[in-house]
Amino acid sequence: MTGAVIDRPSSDQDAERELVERAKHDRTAFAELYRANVDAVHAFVQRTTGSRDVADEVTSATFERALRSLPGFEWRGSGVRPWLFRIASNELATWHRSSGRAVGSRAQDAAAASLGMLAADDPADFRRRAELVVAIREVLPNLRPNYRDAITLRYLGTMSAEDAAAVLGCSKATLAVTLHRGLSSLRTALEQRAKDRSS
Amino acid sequence: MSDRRDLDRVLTDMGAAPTTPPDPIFVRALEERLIAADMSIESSARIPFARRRSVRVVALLAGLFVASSAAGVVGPPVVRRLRHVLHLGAASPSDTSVGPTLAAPTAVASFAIDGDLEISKTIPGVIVPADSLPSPGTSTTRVVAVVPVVSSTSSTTLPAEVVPSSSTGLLSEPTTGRGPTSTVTAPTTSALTTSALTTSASTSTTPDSTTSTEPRIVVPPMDLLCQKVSGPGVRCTWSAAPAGTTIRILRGTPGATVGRVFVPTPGSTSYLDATATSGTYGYRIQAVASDGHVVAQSAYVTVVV
Repeated sequence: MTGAVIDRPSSDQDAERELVERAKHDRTAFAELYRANVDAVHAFVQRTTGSRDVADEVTSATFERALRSLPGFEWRGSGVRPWLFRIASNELATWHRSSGRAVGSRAQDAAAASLGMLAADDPADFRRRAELVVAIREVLPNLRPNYRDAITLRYLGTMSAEDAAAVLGCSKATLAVTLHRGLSSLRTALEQRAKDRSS
Repeated sequence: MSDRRDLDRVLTDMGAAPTTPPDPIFVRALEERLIAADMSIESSARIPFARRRSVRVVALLAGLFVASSAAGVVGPPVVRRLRHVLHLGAASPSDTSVGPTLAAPTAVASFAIDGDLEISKTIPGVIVPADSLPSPGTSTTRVVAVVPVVSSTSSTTLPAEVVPSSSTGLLSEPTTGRGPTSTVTAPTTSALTTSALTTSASTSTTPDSTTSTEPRIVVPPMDLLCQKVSGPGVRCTWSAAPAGTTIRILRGTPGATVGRVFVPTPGSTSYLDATATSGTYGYRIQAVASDGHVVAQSAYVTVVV
């Protein structure tokens, strides 16, 4: 797992912080912030759901929420992107609740099949892992929010532990515990899903 | 089903998986909506559609009579055409996606479109789809009612409609009593919304002399039908888009500040919004040229799911 979000020079962080402050009362600055992050947020949601349409929907909702919430945003050193990912994660959960269903299985299958990482020499292994991706996408939204957020931000958002911890408002040690429990919970949910399907 | 290591590996791979970048039109449209924050149908929902249409009728008719009283020649054909335009679903003055609040039109100007000319050379900012331009060697005349904008929150989507004139023949030269060709003028403000009327060549105009800045004429209004489907979602269907444009769908919900933007498959004339699960949704489609200008759009259509 990589930490792709931080490791920015402090001058970049200063510039971003200044941009965030301007964006609180300047729509042009917000647009700049939007352009710098929209692709990342969209990709994050797309990886989480496997659906480009849902990514469009949730990305729109994310920036709408960000626009409203920005005046209350407090800079924590990790930048604005982790904060946007957190909003996206919440909006995704809201979307799942409001829709009352997971993304269509066909769309998920197609998305899983399109993932380059699923290419495997063993066709059986390919299918098994593709099914696992589909299953993860289905059960992930139903986990406890702190588990879901920890897994989503660390794995699918490829955040560093520092960033994810900052966004979740906890220490790195707490995050590690949460992540461990979250993965156990995810595994249990996957097993339960498999049982339900076989019965 | 899976051990910890396998799960960790698949999750890591999911995070590193390539994704399809968002459609640039979607990105641009969402940015526009965020900046304008005008996609909400909240305010428009406070005014019933019928009342909004009445407001528009009154406003345009009032302007028309102002213009006709100045020129003394606007007659029943104009009024009939005005009703026709409104029946096609012109944008409402209270439509928040439009942004400006419209006052009564105060002048009517005419202009000629020659097949050998680009419309933008005739009226700066006017955009007409290529397939609605006359053939080379022919020309057509269009008449627009100029409506001053009282207040404006958006400078990018000032909608109006231009309907091809029913008149035929070469009318590129202004006749006595007509307003000047090649110019759309406004009496008091720098921003304009124009609504098209068509009439005979005898229509006279007396526009004031304030210069327009980038009026936007949308040709023609697009039909949009949105219906709840049996499963979750709303299906939108529309008339074919003008050549060289891309369709984008704007969706507003009561209470939302910004709304949503969808970009359907190019060339398609329908889109299933599977994310509309419960509540009231307002839809509008826009045909967008490659330079980002809106060249046609529908009226808002509301659906309760």
